[in-house]
Amino acid sequence: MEDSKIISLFFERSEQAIEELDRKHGPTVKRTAANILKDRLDVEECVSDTYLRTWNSIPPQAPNPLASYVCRIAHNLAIDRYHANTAEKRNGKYDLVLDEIEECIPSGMSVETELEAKELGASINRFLSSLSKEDRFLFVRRYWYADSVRELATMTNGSPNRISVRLFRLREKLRNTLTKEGLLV
Amino acid sequence: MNRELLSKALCEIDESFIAEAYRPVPEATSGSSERIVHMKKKRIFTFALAAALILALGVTAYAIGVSIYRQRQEELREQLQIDENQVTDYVEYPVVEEPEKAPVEGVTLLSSMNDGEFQRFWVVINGVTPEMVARLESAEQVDWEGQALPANGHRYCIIYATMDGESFFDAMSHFHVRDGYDPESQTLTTECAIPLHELEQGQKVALRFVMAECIDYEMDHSEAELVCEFGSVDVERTGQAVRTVWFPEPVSFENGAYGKGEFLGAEISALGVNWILRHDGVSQMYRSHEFADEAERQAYLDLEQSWLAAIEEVERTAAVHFADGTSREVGLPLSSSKPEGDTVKDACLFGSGTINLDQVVSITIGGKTFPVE
Repeated sequence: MEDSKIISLFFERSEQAIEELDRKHGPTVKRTAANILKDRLDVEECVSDTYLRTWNSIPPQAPNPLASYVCRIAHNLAIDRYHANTAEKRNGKYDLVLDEIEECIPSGMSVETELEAKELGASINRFLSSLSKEDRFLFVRRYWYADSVRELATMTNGSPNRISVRLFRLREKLRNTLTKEGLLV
Repeated sequence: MNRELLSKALCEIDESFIAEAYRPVPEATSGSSERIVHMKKKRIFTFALAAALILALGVTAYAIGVSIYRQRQEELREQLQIDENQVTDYVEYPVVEEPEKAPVEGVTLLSSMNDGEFQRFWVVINGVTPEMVARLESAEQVDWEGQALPANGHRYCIIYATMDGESFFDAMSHFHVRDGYDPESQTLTTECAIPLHELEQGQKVALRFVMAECIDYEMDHSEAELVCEFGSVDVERTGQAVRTVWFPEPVSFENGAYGKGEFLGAEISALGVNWILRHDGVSQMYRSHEFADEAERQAYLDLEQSWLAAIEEVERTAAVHFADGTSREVGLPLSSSKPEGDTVKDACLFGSGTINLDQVVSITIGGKTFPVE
């Protein structure tokens, strides 16, 4: 079913909207959550919460594209749940993503407040704007969708090592950008 | 550092970037597809995967009175900037012009270009359904048991071309599926690249386009299961326009594990640059990716990582310069040729479109600039 028809079902308050959303975008929503959360139950609850939040936000919103909208909800809910979980339930895959991003933050900078996180987010967006489409794809898939290097290699037909090197360069470039911008010092 | 806030900063990534990188995961496949062959291991060198050009193929609606093939040829010509850059080695093939006579099945060859390392072909594949595209854009099935996934637990679909039933050449990167797909006509306009060492001058080969489901990450498609066969086209190598530069002073690079190597020169084509590298360790680095055991594999991958970092450190500063004073950066490579002795070619593309080869006056790499005679 077309996304516009699914949105119409939400506006009609038809429960079929959730069924169609799940049928069309459910696997991607689940994968987005599963890349961040380790526990199956957590993933399932995160997906349910995503649908509930979507139901509550459409209407008034009519997101286009719908897919990335629901993925963002799933991603943000998964992040909240990830941080709420105990250490033993944390997902090694997402830990690695955070480890890599932490490397990019120049010494002297810190992210200790919500405002600083927003400022850092804005810097990352400016950095992403400066990248080629291909590099931006790699960065967002790795650090937002939390795909593994091997998954990226499969998606792009590149070797895992080539992808690793490209990501390393991108992190270095981000670090330089953040240093130049001098934010959060 | 507060990791929670750090991940919240990542949550601030703009919606447009999230949408741009979005790739759907299909529903779990049902039933079993026909298992036709245990295809032989591909003969070609594992590194010889061509990076595809970044083109927004086939995004426009039908033009009235022109067949979809002719329309795609015109779009490609424009996107590759063939006329603007006076590219002489781009070959267009005759296609049916009238829409009513245009075939609605099989594969149609649009055009071709030899970039000095790969013979690149652009084709229109008919009969690609939206369901197939959804499967193409996915890389895996999630294991709902929450266990670490074994390498053979991942599945992905790809459309590729086979030659003689045993060599495999990726028809596209997953990047380009969405851009090249036209749901109205259910056609996929895409690029296929064959390493030149697999296609002798004067040799005509039939490329058969199939969609298959693959199981492993190593891209050898040895356990591929056929999902669909689209048709085949006959292809051959075309002439090439390349300007070769041999550097009077080779540019050196240093690999921690193997020591120093040199960039000896470059082959510049309208599409990109092939760097010619010399190093004693070339044959060990650019080897088949078949290993006796996991330890050997891991040792190799560590070396490869170090090698790639060393050469890309030099390559990432590269640019070509034109007579009008402008320059164009050379992208980082995603593919390499089969080594010959102690040399190998690392292939880079300009990313999108072409350059005017006649207007190139010099090339820079590793901080050194060399004239292009």
